[in-house]
Amino acid sequence: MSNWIFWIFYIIAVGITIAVIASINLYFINDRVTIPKGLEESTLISRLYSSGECFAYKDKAGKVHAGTIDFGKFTQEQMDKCFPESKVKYAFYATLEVSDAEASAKSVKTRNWVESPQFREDIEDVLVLKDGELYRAKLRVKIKDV
Amino acid sequence: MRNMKKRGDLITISIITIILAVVIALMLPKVAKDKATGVIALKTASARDIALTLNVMCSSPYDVKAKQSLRLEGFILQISGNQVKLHDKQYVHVENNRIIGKDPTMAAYPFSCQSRVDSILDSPKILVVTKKDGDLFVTKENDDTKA
Repeated sequence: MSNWIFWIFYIIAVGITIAVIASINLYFINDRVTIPKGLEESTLISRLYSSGECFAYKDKAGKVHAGTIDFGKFTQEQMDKCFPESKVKYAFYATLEVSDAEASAKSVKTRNWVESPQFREDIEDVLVLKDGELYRAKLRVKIKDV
Repeated sequence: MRNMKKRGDLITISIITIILAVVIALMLPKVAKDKATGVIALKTASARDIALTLNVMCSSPYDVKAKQSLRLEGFILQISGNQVKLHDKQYVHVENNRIIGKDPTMAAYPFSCQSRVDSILDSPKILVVTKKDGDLFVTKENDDTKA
């Protein structure tokens, strides 16, 4: 009878050891095949100020000025076009702070953004075109895993 | 007599433990290799790579064309609903530009693009992603039809 109890504990101990080794193994393998978090985020954020379909200024000739945000385009409606509904694992909340213009900060967010105190932040120096004038501005982008 | 029985038990336990350790030690590199270089890993990594490429292309301010070398013989690449999906041809086939069947180990990775991208490519070796006038097209080499 005591032998049975010993074997049960023995099998459990061996099982736990195998599970721990397998988990450590899987962790390192997953780490090798995952796209670095910052890389995917930065490619998504860059479209805010570099894509004509987002907020980047597009002149009459159709040329897109990457790094220059069209103040008139910085709307929630445009954000919804820029980041249409998808299963992407990030949510963004972007605030445009124009230093010289007489305008308060404007904010837009992706549809999957949910308010909570935990987020990362990326700050980009951009130019803003407002009423035909260029201003220096900061684009603060809060990022959250969904 | 009792001591001999105990010693016998200990030897049995030691042998079993050593056999288990050897089996695990031999299996782990194989499991690691399968996970890192096997079909499932290839599908998962490729779906992520393609999704990342599409994200980058969507962010481009200019018309641009990029080629991505893939080794996806034996797979069907489906891009729809802002998702990259890779199906194993063992389980599915293409009929009238639709995927027929279901791959239980299908790999999928989401991307976000303003332009609607729909494409089904059979065994692509080189993926050609083109952005023109804000629209994104995904084709494979020697196949310049609109996706």
